[in-house]
Amino acid sequence: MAKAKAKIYARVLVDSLKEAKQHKQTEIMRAFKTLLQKRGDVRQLSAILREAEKLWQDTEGKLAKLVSAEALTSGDKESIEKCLNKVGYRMEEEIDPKLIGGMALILENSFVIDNTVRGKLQRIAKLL
Amino acid sequence: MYDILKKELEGVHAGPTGEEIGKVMSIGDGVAQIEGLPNAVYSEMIEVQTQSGVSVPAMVLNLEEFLVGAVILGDATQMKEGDTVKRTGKVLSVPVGEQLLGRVVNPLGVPLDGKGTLGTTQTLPIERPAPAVMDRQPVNTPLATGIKAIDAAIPIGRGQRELIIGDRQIGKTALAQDTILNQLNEPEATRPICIYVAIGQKTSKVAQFVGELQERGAMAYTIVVTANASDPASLWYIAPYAGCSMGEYFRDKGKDVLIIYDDLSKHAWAWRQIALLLRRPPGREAYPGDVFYLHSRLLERASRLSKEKGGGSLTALPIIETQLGDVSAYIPTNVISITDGQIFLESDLFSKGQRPAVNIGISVSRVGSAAQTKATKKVAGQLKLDLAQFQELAAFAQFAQDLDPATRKRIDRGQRLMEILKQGQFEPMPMEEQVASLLAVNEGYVDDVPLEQVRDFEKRLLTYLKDQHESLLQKIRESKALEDDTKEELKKGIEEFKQTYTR
Repeated sequence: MAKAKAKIYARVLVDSLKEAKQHKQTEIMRAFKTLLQKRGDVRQLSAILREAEKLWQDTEGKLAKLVSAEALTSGDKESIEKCLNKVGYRMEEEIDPKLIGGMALILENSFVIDNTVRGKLQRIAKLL
Repeated sequence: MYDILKKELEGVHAGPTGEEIGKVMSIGDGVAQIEGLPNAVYSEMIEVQTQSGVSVPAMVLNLEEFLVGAVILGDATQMKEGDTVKRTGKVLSVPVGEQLLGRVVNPLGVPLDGKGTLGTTQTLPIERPAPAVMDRQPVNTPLATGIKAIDAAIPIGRGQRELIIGDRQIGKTALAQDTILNQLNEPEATRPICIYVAIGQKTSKVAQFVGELQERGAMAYTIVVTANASDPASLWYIAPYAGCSMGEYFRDKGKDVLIIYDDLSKHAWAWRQIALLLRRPPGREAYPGDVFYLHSRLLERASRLSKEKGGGSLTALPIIETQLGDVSAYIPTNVISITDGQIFLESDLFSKGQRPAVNIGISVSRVGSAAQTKATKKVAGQLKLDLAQFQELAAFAQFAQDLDPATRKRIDRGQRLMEILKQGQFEPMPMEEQVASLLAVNEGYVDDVPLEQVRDFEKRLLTYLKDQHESLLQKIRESKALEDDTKEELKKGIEEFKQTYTR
């Protein structure tokens, strides 16, 4: 699938950029362009770059999104951020009044710790 | 409900929970590609949380490096790209239990008959392994269909898989329905539980089907699982497996179950659609490579269990619709080779007025003869011989006046046999009555009855026997055998009737 291919390209690109020294990075980018041309995948360039950007950000720490119904106090925010940084995550904040109350922590788009009122109501609805 | 809410509010389950999630990347034609869900397993049930707050169930069918392919088992119109998907941790399961009897449900076990919730406590996964070799025993008990042509010539045993195959509008469903209705003639202790799985049928047809069963009191032991023509293909795909799991619950409890898949051609279409949308490579007639396995794993679950396993059975009657009688197409040949025999319904016979339009010459039952009752076996041997001889000579029937008397006699007998094998819809016949009317033909009592009066003769003969010789019929019914003295008595009874009939 195209999506999977773009992800693999992105991973290769990011890994080799990471390993290379500063002055070699332009060279790698040029080589990557010829590689895409050779393999006939130039059309996927934008998708690859999008994926690569995500991966590059992950090198600074994986994304943890904190969604809450109301803005957090700065003290709360700091303590949560500190905990997340300790385990290699960088925090992003989002406010979504639809949650009614409480907050949810979404780790890397694949895991969620849900402590929102909406989540609880949904769980109750399933029990009925 | 008060308690549940209270407990929930008291905080029993209300703490934060960790869940695996994914995101819908693309959706179309009932298939969604999902990013995330790193630990999802094949055939797992997942839930898509739509923006409107409704959660739509889906089933995982493709597991790739970054993506999960799933078929949606509900209303896909509300889903959008970016919706959150949650794992349930359960493989797709359906509710099972006695509470399902008399109910009409969809393949997810949701009642469709407006009689309220099912109230079941147990569920079973829809995909279950077939019983192992040592857990089985040979087929040895008959499953009476109440149709003379089938019970005599192509008998079906409990635990067998017998295919019903024929063109559209030829009586395939009617045959299955009569088989369900005939179970009313069985004593309650040995009466099989019937499951009718309608795949892609018109809702009006299913309603009519259920109505007929209800009217005749047959819904009490029947479950109807229906994926209607307007339901998504994913529901068509899971319908037979869901019905089979519902049947296996009873089978594993030592009961006999009869399951009808109506029909597997449409099931194969649904699977073809899903497989193509999941971008699996197409093969012959654009069906995916595993279309044989699709049906073989389903039909392999039909079995007769050994005594140690409770001795239950699951008899499968799959139905296949052919196009213009072409049985050499892909799906018909597949299912013919999987099943233990087939009942061919022919449009030529149907238009000639032979109903049920069973072609006895090319229909077979590979294991059923071991399960035939002794009484039926006694009359069926002669019947098959006479029919075979008649079919050989049938071509000459139109030159009747030039034939020698012996040939003439065989043709006459054959024509009368064919006439006796005709049977109306909703008129399944108990075994002892079948034996009596077939004996009457075999012994030549019908030879001098004009062809057009044969059915009337049969009807009046059976009424006479029921009035005057009930004990005799009861004896055959209970012993399931036709001893020589019983046979003589029966012949005497037929002779007595014949005197009143000709007079």
